[in-house]
Amino acid sequence: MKRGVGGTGLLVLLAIVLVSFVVFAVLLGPGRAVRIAVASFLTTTVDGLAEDLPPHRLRVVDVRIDPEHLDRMNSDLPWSGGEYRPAELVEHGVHYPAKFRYRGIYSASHYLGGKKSFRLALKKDNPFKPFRRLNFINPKSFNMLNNHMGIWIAGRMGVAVPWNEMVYVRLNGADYGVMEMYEQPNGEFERDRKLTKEEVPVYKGEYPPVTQRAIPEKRTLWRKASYWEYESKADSTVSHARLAALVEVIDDSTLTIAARRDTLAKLIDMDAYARYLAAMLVVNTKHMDQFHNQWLVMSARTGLFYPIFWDALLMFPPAGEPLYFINDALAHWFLRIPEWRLLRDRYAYGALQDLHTGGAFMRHYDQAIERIKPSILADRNKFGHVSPIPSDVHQFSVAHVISSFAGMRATVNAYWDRTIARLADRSVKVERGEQLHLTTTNEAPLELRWHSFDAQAPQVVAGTDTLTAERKEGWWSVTIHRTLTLPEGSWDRPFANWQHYVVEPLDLSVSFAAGIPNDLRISNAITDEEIR
Amino acid sequence: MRSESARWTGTLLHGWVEVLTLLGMLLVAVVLIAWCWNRGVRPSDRQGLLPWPLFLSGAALTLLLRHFDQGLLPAVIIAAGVMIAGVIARVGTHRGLWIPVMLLASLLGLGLNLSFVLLMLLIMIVLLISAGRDR
Repeated sequence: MKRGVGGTGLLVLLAIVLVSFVVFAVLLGPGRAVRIAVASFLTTTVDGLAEDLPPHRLRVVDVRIDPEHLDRMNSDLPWSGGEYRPAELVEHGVHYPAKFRYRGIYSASHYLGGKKSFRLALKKDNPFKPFRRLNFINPKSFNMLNNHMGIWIAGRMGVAVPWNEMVYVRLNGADYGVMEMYEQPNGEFERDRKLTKEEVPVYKGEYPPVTQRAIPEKRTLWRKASYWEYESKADSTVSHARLAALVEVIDDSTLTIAARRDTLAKLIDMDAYARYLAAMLVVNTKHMDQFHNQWLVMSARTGLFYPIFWDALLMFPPAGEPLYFINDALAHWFLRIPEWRLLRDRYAYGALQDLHTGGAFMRHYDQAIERIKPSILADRNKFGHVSPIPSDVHQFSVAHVISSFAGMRATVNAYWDRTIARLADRSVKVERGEQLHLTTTNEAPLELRWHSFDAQAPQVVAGTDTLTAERKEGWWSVTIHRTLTLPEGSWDRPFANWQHYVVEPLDLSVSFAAGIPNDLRISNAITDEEIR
Repeated sequence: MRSESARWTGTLLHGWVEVLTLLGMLLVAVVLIAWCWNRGVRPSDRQGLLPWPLFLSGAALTLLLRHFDQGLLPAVIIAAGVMIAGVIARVGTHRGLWIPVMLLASLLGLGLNLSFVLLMLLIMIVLLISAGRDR
């Protein structure tokens, strides 16, 4: 072999490679082509370096299904998403009968690529009992833990969450990879948690079911009670009536704040919703919106509706990082009620103290990473969105995972630092004369406390409002809530999607009947820390 | 229609880059090994740095193994590849390199990149410390 021939051959090869890249860059656009190419290059080079792997620390789920069924379903995705086929779940050598279906349409990562999301319907006696319908989801983020951690946060904040676990799936004896397994809620939601012995009414707020080979039009869930799909065998007479009433209250824009508050309080578990919205702020997600990712459970104990935190997506933020994001029509009204808003803020602040300042999140995150690590190294079937284009579901590498872990850590820390600073802000200008004058541009409400021998609740005039003080731990107290508005140009209707409130600057004079009390204490109403 | 074709173009690019990366890795390994091979012989006896038949055979084996990765097929493919390489090595240039390169290609095809790198280094060291006349 002559050197000249080798050199020419190399040049020809290089030319082919360069031309091919130019062609792909033209066809796909340079940014998209580079992302796909980098994902492919790293998958091929980096992932193969992981050999002699430690055993899985995640549960290994072994699913068997006739390859013919699988082929048939694969050949008609996403439309085959609704059809169940017989399958088996093998656990410790025991074969449990199951029904298998793909998740089908909406998110492309469910049905494109080599790791498709699926659902198993199991008999009562199964390794995951009491749960019988389980989703196995191809994780949406490169770090795979994104949704799992979001749900963990919400659960820690006292919000109802689905049972959720990271698992390693083997399909027909071959590695399928790391997936997120979670319960599909239904009427047994409370019974499975030993809260009741009967089924309870449960409603699913999702995109419309796919019945034809086309994507149905999205529907604004709170527009009609019938848009909520009933997912229970419990009697629905009362729950349907209450849901219809709730929809009516949400649609009625003529109610005063007080009337709305009192009516809503008879239909929804206000405390559960405050926690739910607080979790949304902490998790920093906009994923539960007017159209999907919503669940309503009617509590057997209280008869009130409460939500399930679903498909959380940690750090999937609304634009502009608003403190008061309106994810749906119910939130539109909920956040207008000052005392409910304050309750939400206090839950969020308390959670941030625990998760961020106390370090609970990072400890759990580190543990979760340690558990998932061997499985991620073993997973040669990692598929996800490698570019912002939804259909770009391709293989990604361990390098993507590691970088995503680090990115998530940095993003969470930075966001929580900012949110704590906003909630705990105490920069208020206080001027004392005949009246108390308060000025601030921050977003936190204020609490005024003072001692007095008044037997009757004293009244305070704040701006044009007359506030009646309440007794709190031996003090008289009034809360100066902040005024919220919608940004200029926003549509002030509950069904507008992905809106947010902004907090107006405060410039307020407060008069006390007997002059400003000597021991008046002004504090941030969210943190209870005194204004200095 | 447009997005459907773009999706397929994206998939093609992903596969194309995978093939190029594999071939690139094998190419680098073959060039490095051939360079080490040449160190053991007199400058006038040195041959090209890229023995094309050797590289192309290795590339074919790698791609075959990437595609057929289930059951006993990989074992059959590797055995056949090594046997054929042994036969070709008796008549072609770089006689001593055929079987090591086929083994390297097998590791690459099986996705065992760490073993691939280690075996390549080992082959290079052996070639550097052995005299050319013994090959």
